[in-house]
Amino acid sequence: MKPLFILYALFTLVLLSFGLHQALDVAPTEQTMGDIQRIFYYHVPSAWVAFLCFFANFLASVAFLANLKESGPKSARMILLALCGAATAILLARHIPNAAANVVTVWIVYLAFHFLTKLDTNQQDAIAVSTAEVGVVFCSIVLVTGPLWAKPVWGIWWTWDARLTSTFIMWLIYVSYLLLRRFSTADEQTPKLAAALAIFGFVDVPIVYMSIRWWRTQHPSPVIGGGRAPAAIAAMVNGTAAHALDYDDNFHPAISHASAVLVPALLAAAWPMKISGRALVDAYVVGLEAQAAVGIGVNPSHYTAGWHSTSTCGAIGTAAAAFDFVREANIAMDSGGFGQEDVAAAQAFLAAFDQIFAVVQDNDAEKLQELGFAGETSGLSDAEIEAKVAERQAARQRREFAKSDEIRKELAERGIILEDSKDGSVRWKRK
Amino acid sequence: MSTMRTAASTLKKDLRLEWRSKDAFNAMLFFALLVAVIFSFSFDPNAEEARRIVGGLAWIAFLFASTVALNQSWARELHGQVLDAFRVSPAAGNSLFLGKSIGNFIFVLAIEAVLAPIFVVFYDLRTIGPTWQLGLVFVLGTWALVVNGTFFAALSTRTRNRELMLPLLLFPISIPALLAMVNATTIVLTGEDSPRFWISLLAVYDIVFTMVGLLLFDTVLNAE
Repeated sequence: MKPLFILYALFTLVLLSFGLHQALDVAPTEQTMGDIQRIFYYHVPSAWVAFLCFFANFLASVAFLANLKESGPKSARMILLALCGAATAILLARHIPNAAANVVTVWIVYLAFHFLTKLDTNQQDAIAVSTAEVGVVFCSIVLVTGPLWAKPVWGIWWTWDARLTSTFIMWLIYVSYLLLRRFSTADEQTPKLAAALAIFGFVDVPIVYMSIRWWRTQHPSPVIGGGRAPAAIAAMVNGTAAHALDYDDNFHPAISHASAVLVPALLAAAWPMKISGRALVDAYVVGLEAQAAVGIGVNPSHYTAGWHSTSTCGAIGTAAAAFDFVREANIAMDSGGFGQEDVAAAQAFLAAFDQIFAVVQDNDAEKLQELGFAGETSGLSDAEIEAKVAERQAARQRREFAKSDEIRKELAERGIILEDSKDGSVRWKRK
Repeated sequence: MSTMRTAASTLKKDLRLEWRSKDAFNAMLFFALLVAVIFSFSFDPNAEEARRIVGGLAWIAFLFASTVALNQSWARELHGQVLDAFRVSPAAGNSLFLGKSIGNFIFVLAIEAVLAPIFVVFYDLRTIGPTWQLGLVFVLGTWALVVNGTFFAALSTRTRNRELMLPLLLFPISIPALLAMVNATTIVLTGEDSPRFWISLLAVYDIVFTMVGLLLFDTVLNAE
C-alpha cells in the first residue's frame, strides 16, 4: 500500500503544478474582471469536488445502513433504499438537461452504489468518513475563495443569495457530522449514528436550496452584487436613479435633464460595443451639443407650452450621441478591434434593446390594437362616456383610487383616453 | 396496531410524569419568558417594527426552550436503564420515537399557547393577515422542530457532551424549517403576502423528516 500511496501523491503533485501553470500562465486574462477571475480555476473545481464528496458520503451511508442488521426488518431497509434511489434520480433529472447524459449518469450512480453495497460495513464507513472530511475541506476552500473574488468584482464579501447560503448551510451540516463522530462515546456506535445523520443532512440539502431561493426572490437583492445586468435593464436602472437623484431641468439651453437621458444610454451602448472611455466622453459632449442646438431652436415656448424637454430634446440629443459611436465603431473595424466575431454580441444587444423600445421592429399598430386604441370601436355614446367619467370623478373624491383606475382602464379598453388636468377637471377624447 | 398501542402508552407515561413534576414545562416556560423580556429590552420596537421582528423572536425563544425540554426527555429514560429495558423488549423502536415525539409536541405547543398572549402584550401585536393561518404555522412548525429534535436528542444521549450536542446537530438541519416558520409568521402578522409557499414547505419538511426519522430510529436506538 505504501509505495502505491507515494506514487499516487507524486502523480497528484504533478497534476496540481500543471493545473497551477495552466491557471496562472496559459489561461488568458479575463477582460472585465482581470486577474482576479483566475480564482475560478480553484473555486469551481473545489465546489465540484465538495459536492461529489458529499454525494459519495450519502451513497456510502445508505449502503452501510442497508448492510446493517440493526436497521430493523428487511422491508424497512428496502423502503429506505427505494426512497434514496428515487430522490437521487429526481435530483439528477433536474440538473442534467440532456436525456442521454442523464441515463449515463444514473448508470454511473447505480454502478457506484452497486460497488458500495458489495463492501463490508467497515469499508463503507471508511469511505463515508473520508469523503465527509475531504468534502468539508473543499467546501471551506469554496467558502473562502468565493468572497475573495466577490469583494473586488461585486463590491461585497458576501450576499445571502441562494447558492452562497445553501453552500454555507451544507458546510454547517457536514461539520456537525464530523463533530458527532468526534464526540461519540463508543467506537462501535459511531458509524451507525453518523450514517443516520448523513441521511438527514443529504435529504435536507434540496429543501434548504428550495427555501433559500424562495426567500431571496421574496426579498430585494442587494443593489451591488449578483453580477452584471443586461444592457437595456442597466440603462433603465441608471436612468431611473439619475431622474430620482438629479436636480430637474438644469441644463439651460435645452431646459432639460441632460445627463439623466444621455449617460445611461451611452453606458449601456458602450459596453457591448467595446467603446473606449475617451470615445464615451466625446459622445457625451456631442449629445449635450445636440440637445442644446435643438433646445435653443424650440425653447422657451416649447417648454412653457408644457412639453417635457428631457423627453423631446433629450431623446434627440441622445440619439445623436449614440450615433457618434458609429464613428468609433468604424475606427475599431479598421484597426481590427471589432470584427465578425463581435457581430453576434452586437446583434443580441440590439435585439434586447428593441424588445423594450421597439425601434427596429415596427409593431405599433399591433400594440395599439392590443391596448384597444384601434379606431372607432368603442360604440359608446357621448352621454355614456360622460356618465362613466362622472362616476370616476365621484370615486376619486371618495379617494377610492382602485375603483377610479378600474373605470379608466375600462374606458381605455374601449378606446377612450382620459386626461386629468391640474385643476381637477377631466377631459376625454376618442383615440 | 401494537406500534400504536406502545406509542400511546409511552405518550401516556410521559404526560403523567410531566403532569406530576412539571419540570420540563416550568423550565421551558421560564426560559422562553426570559428570552422575550431580553429581546424587548434590546430592541424596544414600536408596533410596526414589532410586527416585522416578532416572528423571528418568538421562534428563537421556542427553539431554545424546546431544546431544554428535548434534552430532558431522553435523560429521563437513562435513569434506571429504562432505555435498555425497552431495547430487549419486543416492542418496535418506532413506537417509542412516535410516542416521545407526540409528547414533546404537546409540551412545546402548550408552552406556545401560554407564551403567545404574553408576546401579544409585550409587543402590542395585532395580526393583519388571517389569524387561523398562524395556528397552522404553529402546529406544523412545532412538529418540524420536535420530530427532528426528538431524533437528535436520542442521538446526542450517545455522545460525551449530550446537552451541547443537540443544538449542534438540530439547528443546521432545521434551518429551512426555521426560515419557513419565521417568514410565514411575519407574513401573517404584517399581512403583506400569502404564506402559502412557506406553509406547504413546512408540510413537506414535516412529512419527509417524520419518514426519515421513523426509518432510522431503530438504528440509533440499537447502535451499541
